[in-house]
Amino acid sequence: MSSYRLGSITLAEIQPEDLEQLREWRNSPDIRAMMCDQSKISVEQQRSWYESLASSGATHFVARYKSVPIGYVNLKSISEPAVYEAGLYTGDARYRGTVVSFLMALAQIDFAFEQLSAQKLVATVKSENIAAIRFNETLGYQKQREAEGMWHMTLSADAYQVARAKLAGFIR
Amino acid sequence: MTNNQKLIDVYSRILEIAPEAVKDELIYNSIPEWDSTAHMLLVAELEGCFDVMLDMDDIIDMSSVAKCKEILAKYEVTFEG
Repeated sequence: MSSYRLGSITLAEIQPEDLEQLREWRNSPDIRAMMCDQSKISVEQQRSWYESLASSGATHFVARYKSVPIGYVNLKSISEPAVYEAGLYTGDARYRGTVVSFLMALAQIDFAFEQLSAQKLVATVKSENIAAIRFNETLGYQKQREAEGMWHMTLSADAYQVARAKLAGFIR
Repeated sequence: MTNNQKLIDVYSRILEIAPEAVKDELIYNSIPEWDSTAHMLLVAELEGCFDVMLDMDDIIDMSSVAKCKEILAKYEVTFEG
């Protein structure tokens, strides 16, 4: 599937013309600060990463709000069957921490449960990133364990449906 | 209850802050209680209270109590004083 839509959010397959924007966001200090690997990504690294996507077994999207790129979403299969690791960031600072970020996450999770037939999602968040932890909890994620400064969180389909029902009014 | 009182009541209940703290100058993310999650709850409550459905861009623009009133005015919700 090359794109997936939820309200004004579209998750679109990453195209070569998206790469520089994604790299710029990924290298920005505020995004890097929340990453496990905080090193800057070079043009060559970005190109190699893009070329590896097809065989990566993961789903990578650029998120667009009203057709404008605003962030990045991924879902990676892990060793456990039907379990995916979810990652995302809102690159465009104007939309960070807004309802648009929630919509982006809803699109990601809907895609995982509907299109990938996921049974559970996992996410890892820096313990100091209180806003992201609360953000995830609003989506239904539950804290499982804290190790090495990171909270490991999981999201079941049932917990998501309860959380989604409260947020569905914002899908527009 | 006036629209101004209704607005103060919504902010106070959702953000769990004193009604006196709900002033035009109160800005999104300037207090821990008004974060992105609370903002969504706030918008949902405001939409219900004033029977409006805000455009997504208006929700994003709602960066202060004063701005909130300005945006609601676009939906014909007027505030006295």
